[in-house]
Amino acid sequence: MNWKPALLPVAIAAFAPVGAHAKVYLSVEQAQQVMFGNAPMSLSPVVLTGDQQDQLHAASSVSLKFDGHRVWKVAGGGWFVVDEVVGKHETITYAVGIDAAGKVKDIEILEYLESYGYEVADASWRKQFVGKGADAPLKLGRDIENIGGATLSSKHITDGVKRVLTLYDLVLKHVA
Amino acid sequence: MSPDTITAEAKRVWRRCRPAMGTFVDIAIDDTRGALDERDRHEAMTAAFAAIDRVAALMSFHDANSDLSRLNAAASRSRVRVHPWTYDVLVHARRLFEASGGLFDCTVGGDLVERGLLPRHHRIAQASAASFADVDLLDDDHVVYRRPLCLDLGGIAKGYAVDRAIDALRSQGVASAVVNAGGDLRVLGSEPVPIHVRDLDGARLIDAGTLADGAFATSSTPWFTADVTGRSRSASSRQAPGAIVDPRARRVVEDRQLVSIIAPTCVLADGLTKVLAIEGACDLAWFAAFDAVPLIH
Repeated sequence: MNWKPALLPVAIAAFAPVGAHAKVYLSVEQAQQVMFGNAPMSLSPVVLTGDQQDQLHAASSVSLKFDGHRVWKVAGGGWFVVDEVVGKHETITYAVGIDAAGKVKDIEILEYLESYGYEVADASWRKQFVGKGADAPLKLGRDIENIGGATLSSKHITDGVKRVLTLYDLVLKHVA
Repeated sequence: MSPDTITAEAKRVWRRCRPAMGTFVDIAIDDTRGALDERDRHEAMTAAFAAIDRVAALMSFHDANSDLSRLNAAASRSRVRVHPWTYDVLVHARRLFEASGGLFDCTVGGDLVERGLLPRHHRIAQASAASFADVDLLDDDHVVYRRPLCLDLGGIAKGYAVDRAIDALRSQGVASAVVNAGGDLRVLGSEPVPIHVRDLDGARLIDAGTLADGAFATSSTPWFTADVTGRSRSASSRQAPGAIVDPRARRVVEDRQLVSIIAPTCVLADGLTKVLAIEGACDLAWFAAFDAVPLIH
């Protein structure tokens, strides 16, 4: 075990404005490969009526309208659906694989976009940097990789998967 | 091209993230030295996520069919044999209970059920004076409770899951990786990685230095207060999984204090954060006995 405290903050704005940090895990193609191997799939966009959107909302409490352009039909049975959920500080793009029987096969996070401010842990260090924020913009995205702290709830994803399963029941399973 | 993509290409880092244990499990394999082919990486990821799912299935309080729920349902009447992993977590729990003079006590599950923070699966009437001292760990992975009680392995099970995922990666030939289960994380390999801590509101990040070959866990005392009658005054019960109960007073800890522990394993790191959060102060020598470093942010 080897831990080193943050003694020399590099390029840190003490009270940086809220920034956004996107973590990209898998592309759509990579997620398709992870879930269904090399099984061919075809893009099969769905157009939902206002009524159907209401039913998805009621079943999942996700208020964002479902975008039906990211739905793929897998040869030999099954579906691959990309969807998005929005939380207080985050927007998550995720993929759900549905097997031929209509059950969830896999869930993968494709992209996690998070917004936050930034501060240095120790007040005595902080003082040195007050007012220097503009000269030393924090490079978000490159160095912030491993974030501990308040546990993020995956409840939004649970709700999102509920709505994808509702989409399956309402629409996909009736597609020939 | 996003900055992440550039970093990933230069450093050859492969990431996956899946929802598990009520949070997000993020696994990053760093194969800059190029020892793994695509199939190796895929198998390593699959094995690591399978280990996480296995621990979750065994030790979930929410799942009435888990090993833990089976134990809670029957162990006050007769000996119950549990999975070796469940037993292993109980051994850690006993060590923490004994070393902390009872500050770390997994029998607060009963209190959380009473407060409506955990689901009620059985007709549990936890004896009011029950503690982890009433949990007997017998030979051959058998467990018995000396009086009615209800265990909740909560955070240490999550920490243990991270440790098993690291084991799985190592046994698949991975030399450098980070497993982060919604804030409980462990670094495999001697390459130091930067660590940041998300604050209590989830709105700011705090620089917490770098870590190699070790685990980092953070415990934030809850974002709500609960009075002794157990009625939460919080607007949102979603924050309840952060609840820490002080076993001495059987009260939910109310201070908003953010503490972290650096330790060799994630199960220890997570367990020790509870002690630090309840105690609210550091005794460096006490933590050093676990080869751990406490941090109060």
